[in-house]
Amino acid sequence: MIQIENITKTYNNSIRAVDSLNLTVKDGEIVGFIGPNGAGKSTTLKMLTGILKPDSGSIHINEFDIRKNALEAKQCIGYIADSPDMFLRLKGIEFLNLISDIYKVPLDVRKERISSFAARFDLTDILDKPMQGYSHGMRQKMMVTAALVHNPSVWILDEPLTGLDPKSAYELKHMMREHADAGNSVLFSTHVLEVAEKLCDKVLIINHGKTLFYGTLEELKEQYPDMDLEKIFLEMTAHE
Amino acid sequence: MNKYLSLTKTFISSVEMSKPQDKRRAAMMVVLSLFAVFGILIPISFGAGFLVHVTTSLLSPMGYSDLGITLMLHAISIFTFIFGISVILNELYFSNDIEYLLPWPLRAYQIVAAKFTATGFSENIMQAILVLACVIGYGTAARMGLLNWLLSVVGLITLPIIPLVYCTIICMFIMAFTRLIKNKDIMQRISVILIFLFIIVLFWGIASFQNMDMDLTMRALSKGEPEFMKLLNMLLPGVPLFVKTFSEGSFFALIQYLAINAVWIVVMLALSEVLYFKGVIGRTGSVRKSSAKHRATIIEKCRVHSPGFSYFLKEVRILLRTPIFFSNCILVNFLWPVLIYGVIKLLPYHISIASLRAQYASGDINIRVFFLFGTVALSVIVTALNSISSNAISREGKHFSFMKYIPVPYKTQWNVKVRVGILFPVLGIFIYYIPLFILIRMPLTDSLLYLGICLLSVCLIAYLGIYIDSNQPKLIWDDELSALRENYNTFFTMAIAIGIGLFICLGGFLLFYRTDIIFSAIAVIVLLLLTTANLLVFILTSVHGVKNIEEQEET
Repeated sequence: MIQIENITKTYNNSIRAVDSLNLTVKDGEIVGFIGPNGAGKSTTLKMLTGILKPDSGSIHINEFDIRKNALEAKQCIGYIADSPDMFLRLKGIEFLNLISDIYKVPLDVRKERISSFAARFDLTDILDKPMQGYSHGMRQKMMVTAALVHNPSVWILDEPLTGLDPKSAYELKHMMREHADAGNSVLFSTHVLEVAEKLCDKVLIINHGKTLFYGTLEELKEQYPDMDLEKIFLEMTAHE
Repeated sequence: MNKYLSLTKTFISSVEMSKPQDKRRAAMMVVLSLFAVFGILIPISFGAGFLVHVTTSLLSPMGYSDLGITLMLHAISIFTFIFGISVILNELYFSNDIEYLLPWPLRAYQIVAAKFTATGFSENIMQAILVLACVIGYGTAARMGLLNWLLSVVGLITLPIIPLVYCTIICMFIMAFTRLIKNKDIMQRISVILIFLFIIVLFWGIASFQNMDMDLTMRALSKGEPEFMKLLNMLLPGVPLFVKTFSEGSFFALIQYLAINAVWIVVMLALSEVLYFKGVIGRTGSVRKSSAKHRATIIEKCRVHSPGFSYFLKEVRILLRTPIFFSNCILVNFLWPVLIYGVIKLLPYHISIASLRAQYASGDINIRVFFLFGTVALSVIVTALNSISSNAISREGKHFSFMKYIPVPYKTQWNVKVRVGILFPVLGIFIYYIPLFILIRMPLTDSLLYLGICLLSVCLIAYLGIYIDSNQPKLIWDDELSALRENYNTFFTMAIAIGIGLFICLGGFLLFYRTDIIFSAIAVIVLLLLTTANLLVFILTSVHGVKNIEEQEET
């Protein structure tokens, strides 16, 4: 479960990236985080993972405060960053072992999970090669595998479908649904409104760091009858 | 022209370090900058200027007043050339922005000219100060007039042009004619090996001056300019023309100097139109799939390590596998004997393993003092020079966020990074020290003393280095070389290492030779001093350094 209470983040004492944001992602829910470029999505996700410190407000991951109980909170999170170009000099298997060691994944479990992800994402053939030679999509698949190898209960994914081929994108969406249905929480940012429409239980639309809407898609459509999600999004963000 | 200017402006702006995030860090930056200026820049410049002043005064009666400054400027140009090769190669062929530049409607000469200017700009600041010091040294000895001083200004900033043009042309030829080697990493490794071979040959060349007889040199001078000077003047024609400009106050020499620089730039840009795209397009880092047999064992071979050890392995692997980090951070730890060999060969007396053994056997106290302070000096310089710790946080670059979101305490990550910074210099020194100690039959107690002193000195600089880097890390860089070269923290750490080395060595020498203190007492004082400094630095940096990481945000 993710609980965000009234968080605010300002860069260089002038640019308010996130403004008094509140959000609760309950267990069993997938929440889509939607907003134009620069709306504050990545900043919010970075505050959730402990990368950035909020100026005010509090964040709890499975009851753990991200600042007071940082290690416990981080242990619960599977995070996919917005760039998959990480530690490219390492081989795929070395990177997965590094992450498994960091999250203390037992040997048998890690072997089983790495094998499973590698098969689902067609990574088996390249695991012992340096990631520098991987394509963007292969790197993204590696990041997904690394983020999920410790079977975290809370998934925080920043544009996770970017660069994935249709099969892998389908697999990941399927996994997100499975994960939520098993009683866990998923929060992911996306620009693809169709994905949000098909996958999310709730959506959070933000612009200039402020919440424009938070609720189910049905509730959103009730507010804007006779409009599709794309037009609703454009209408909401245009009037901001 | 607009495209060239826009590109140059962009490249130069990427060189700058970001501003400190708070007042404490800003104050720290000011203190470190002052230390670097007064600890390194001014003493080195003063030394070069003084050397030129003395040689000018000595050689003036023989009619060779220009010889000292010409030699010094040639030496500066040669160093610009040697260190410029890797910088130019990296900027033109391996920086991350290349793949964005290639699809744009840019001519090869526009990219090369902009990269060349940006590189020249960043390389030029230190060199301009050094050249200025040499000109001041010459001008005060030769009592130059106002016009001569004014004429020297142009050369201060343009002297690196010809050496850097040579670097650019050589790099373009190498890359254009090795197109069969498609893999970037292999090419980068080959270039690194070539550069190091060049440095080794240079030091061997310097060592050949061992038999240089001052009387013979003076006699050769009286018969005319020595052959090697003629060769240097031919290879670097800008230097004698620049010297002539201010030594004779010659406008004609200035025009010639500017013309020759312009000609070389035109040649370089013309060649870039033919060679640059040939060498830069098509280099990849593609990956081959594993064989089925090998595939089956990959996951089976997984092992479990502690988070700290796994993090340590990650750091070591990145350092060893990234060609630029390997050459600048790892290899330098093992190359110091080449420099020592060059220095020993320049000394007026003979030093060999046998002579050291004989000196030790005879109970000569001087050799023990030499080893004691030599170890301190060597250890602090090697640790600062390799920049492993002074670049430890900056090296993360855009992956800095990884340090923040993983469930590993910052203190653990900090300690792992320091250990990596200690490991390589200690290895690089011990690997030569231990066989040397055995060969010269050094007593075990002395051997252990010097190894202990080495370890303490390395630890001290490693902790200081990472602390300095944590204060204001350079997290935005285009390529690994920029991460090292554009990071002032490595420069600051070097300044502090020199300061510490000088304080202990000079203080120790004075104490030993000016008082009746015995060697053992000196050794104990150095040990205590280093241990206390280590403890203080460990406590201070572990608290404040970890806090720096905690507070540091992506820039």
